Amino acid sequence: MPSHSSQDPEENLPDWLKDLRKRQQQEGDIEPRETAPEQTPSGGEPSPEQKGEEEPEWLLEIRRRHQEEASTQPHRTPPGEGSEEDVPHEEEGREKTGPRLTDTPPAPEEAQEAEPPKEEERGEKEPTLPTGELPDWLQGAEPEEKGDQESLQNEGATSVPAFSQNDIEPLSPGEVPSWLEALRPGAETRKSRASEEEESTGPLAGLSGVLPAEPEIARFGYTPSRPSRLEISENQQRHASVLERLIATEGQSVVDQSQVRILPIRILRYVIGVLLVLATTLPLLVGGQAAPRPEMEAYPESARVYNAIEMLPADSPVLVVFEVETSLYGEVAAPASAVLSHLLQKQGRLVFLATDPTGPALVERLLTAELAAQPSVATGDYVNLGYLSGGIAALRQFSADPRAALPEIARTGEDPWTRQALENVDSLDDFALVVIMTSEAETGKAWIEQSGTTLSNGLLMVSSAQAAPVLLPYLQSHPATLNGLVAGFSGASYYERLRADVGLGTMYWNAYSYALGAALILILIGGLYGRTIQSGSDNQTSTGEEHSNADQQ
Amino acid sequence: MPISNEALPLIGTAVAAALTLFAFSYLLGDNVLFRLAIYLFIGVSAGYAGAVAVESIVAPQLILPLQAQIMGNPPTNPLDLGVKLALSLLLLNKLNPKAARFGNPVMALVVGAGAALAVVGVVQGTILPQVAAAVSYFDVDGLDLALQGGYYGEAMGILAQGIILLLATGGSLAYFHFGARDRGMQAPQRSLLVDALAWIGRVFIAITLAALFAGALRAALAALIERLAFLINTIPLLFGGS
Amino acid sequence: MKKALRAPISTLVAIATGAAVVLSFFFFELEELRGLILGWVILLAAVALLLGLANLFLVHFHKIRRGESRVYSFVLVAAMLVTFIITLLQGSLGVFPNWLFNYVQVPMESSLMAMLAVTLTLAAARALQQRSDLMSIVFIAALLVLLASSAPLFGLELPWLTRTLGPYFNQELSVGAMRGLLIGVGLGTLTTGLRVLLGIDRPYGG
Repeated sequence: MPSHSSQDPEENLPDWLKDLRKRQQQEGDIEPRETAPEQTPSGGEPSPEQKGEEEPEWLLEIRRRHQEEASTQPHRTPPGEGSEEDVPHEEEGREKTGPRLTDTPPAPEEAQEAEPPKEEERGEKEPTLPTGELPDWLQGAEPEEKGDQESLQNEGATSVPAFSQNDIEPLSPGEVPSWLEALRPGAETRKSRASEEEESTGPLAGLSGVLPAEPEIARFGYTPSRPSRLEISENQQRHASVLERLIATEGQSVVDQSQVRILPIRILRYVIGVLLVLATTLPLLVGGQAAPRPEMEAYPESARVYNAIEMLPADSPVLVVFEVETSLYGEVAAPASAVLSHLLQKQGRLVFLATDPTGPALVERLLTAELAAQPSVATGDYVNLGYLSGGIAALRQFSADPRAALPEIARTGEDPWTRQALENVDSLDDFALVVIMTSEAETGKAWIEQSGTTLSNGLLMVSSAQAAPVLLPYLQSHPATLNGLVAGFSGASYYERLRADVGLGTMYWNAYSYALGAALILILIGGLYGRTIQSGSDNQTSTGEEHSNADQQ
Repeated sequence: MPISNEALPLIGTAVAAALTLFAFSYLLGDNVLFRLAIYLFIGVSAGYAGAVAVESIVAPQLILPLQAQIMGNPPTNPLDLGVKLALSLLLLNKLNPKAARFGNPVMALVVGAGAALAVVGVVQGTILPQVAAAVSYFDVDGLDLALQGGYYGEAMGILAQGIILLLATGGSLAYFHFGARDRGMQAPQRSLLVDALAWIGRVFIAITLAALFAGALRAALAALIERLAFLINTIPLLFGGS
Repeated sequence: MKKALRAPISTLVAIATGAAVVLSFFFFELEELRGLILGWVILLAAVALLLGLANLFLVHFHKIRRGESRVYSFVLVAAMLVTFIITLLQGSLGVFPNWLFNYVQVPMESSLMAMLAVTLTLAAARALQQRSDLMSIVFIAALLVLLASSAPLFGLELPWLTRTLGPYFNQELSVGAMRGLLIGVGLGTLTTGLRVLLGIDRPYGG
């Protein structure tokens, strides 16, 4: 829209209206209109006069009618678009000519008269309209289209509007669907503006969506009353009741349940200790052989060890790896001495090795304490290679090249590979048998993994009872990695029965039988005793809680 | 007064008996005697292990060759000796927190070699043989013979045995399988088959754990028997002299 | 990437060493190299043991200086030094080292293990009293069967227990599940080893 501040409003009139006015001017009926100084461009066409000395009666009638209607009708609110565009018009109009039709009720003196152009005034160029009737679109035309006209028409108190707005029926708004209405630019703005308050004071009175003339603080009124009742949620109620309970039980003493429970456990521990010691000591003191030794079919894995040693040729080198922890020496000594005794009986040339620092000393202790009567031990006809550090690295290195792994016996500086037992040994497979004596499952597994697969005869093992469950699956593996296993006191007793021998296994078998029985009964009775104590303390706790709840109520 | 060789075992036996009783006193609760015995034991065992390591490995492989080198008797492989010396000195930096990082490459060498050996060993010694053993659960030859001989009861027994062992092995593996499909907003859940196998595996794992616990208890009882036997034999010796 | 840049040398050493050892199982030409590396590892393991000893000494030495549990730490340090020096002088199978080993170390370790019998029995009793789910019931039942089948109880043998039920639990049912566990542990070991060999895990301070 061109700026109206510097243009002659006459220029913005439609062509046919210009022609009409020209004709009227030529006929001398209409005087050129007076224009405001700022709206009069230099060199602009003179405006038509609002009034001539001699106005036709029809024109006067129209004007009168217009003035009457303008004084009674409310002003029309223009659409949003139109109102924005009309702002400069409004400002100009207000300053110079008064309020405009679009924003404020037009002054009666500014009422415009609509008049269909006479047929004779139109001339040949313009289509002629029926006399006395204005087309609907002209009667209800949008203000922005007529903005120029209105601004012109509003200038001066004596200007004659070309058309009377009163006769123009406002264009009825078309039935715009809601979705189309929502798509219109500014629809949201219109909606929000619809909910906004209409300004009631100041120069912007009647407008909505404007900044308030008065700040909020200046508006007087009663503050909205709020309910005095406290609204709390269920969760808050729960928390409050817990807090109330805590405060109520503040002064009450609470029985320490952990102390109640620790004492029976301590008593149970004392009882178990005393009974176990008694059950073990009495058979040792009494002696004898009340408990029968295991049957011949009891431990087939131990029978395989027996059979392997039975088939050992005389003077065969046998590697015995002693991987027993000091803590379980007492248990492993029984099966170990049984197997070593068998090996020595078969005249095997024993070679001892250990990957634990205490291994060499334990070997000496075992040989001295249990096998001192054996000729080989008495004469020292065995080789103790000593300690080899490095874990699985030592295992792999010794399995691949024993001579490189242990070139000499460090303790004595002796070269063991010149001894008769080792003179033909270059690798692990050159030993007739390899017997691993271990108390830990992990050590046994390590030997199986690092060297078991390289041996044509596989490994034999003597282990503690705690390692046996882990090593048993290797007995059935393919290829065979473990060929036999003697485990714990049970294995020792069985092995000695196979050899018809009496050793540590047989000596301790009675005590072992009683200790196991005592342990079994103590587990059962202790469990029942513990359940009784626990159910009693649970009852006590729940009774205490019931009392405290009753007190609170 | 020097202690005679005959008296040493007697004194030792007395010390051993006393220490055994001090250790057993822990059953009544923590006390000074038990603590003294423990700290003495730790000191002796640590010192003994260190000395054995020096005597068996460090001295013959490092100290003595270096001494020979200094004395003008060079070793057969001086490069190997040089590398061992350098590695050992680098490793000693681990004692100083500020210089500990210089020992990292040495640790890396040890760890790398150990990892390689562990990988090769576990495949060769455990995974392949144990899988092969699981495959051979069903005694096919025995089953064939039983069927041929008309021993259908034995045949069913062989089949049942194989199925039970296979369920035990498969179930214990499935128990530790935690892969589950994402089900959007719902919590992930294992497939029905894996869940069922895992439930069966749970039963067999409980049996295996019981076997391990029973083994540990039996070993401990054996140690208790050995210690009590020692005390029973020792006390008359100490007080009776025979 | 940031982690790898932090310790490139250590990572390279671990990967190179691991690769050399693994490849030596496939290429016999590398067996000598493997022997060399393993020889270094054997020595370094012994040196590491000495480092542990030195660390133990320093810890308790500082405790003595600070006055914390002075008597106990003094006993430990004194015993360690005396044993170490005398064993070096006389050899591990010398008179006094042998005496220390046989009359101090062995009795103490054996006694501590013996006390475990009471602790484990108590633990089994408490397991019986506390939980009642399927796994606990099966565990307790299997434990009682296995203990009862290990030996005659109070000198009385129960054949159906020691000859039938016990061996079936021990050598069939337990073995089956243990095989599954061994395979699982083996796969875990394989994964962990490969991660170290590929430099993904760096437990050596990288």
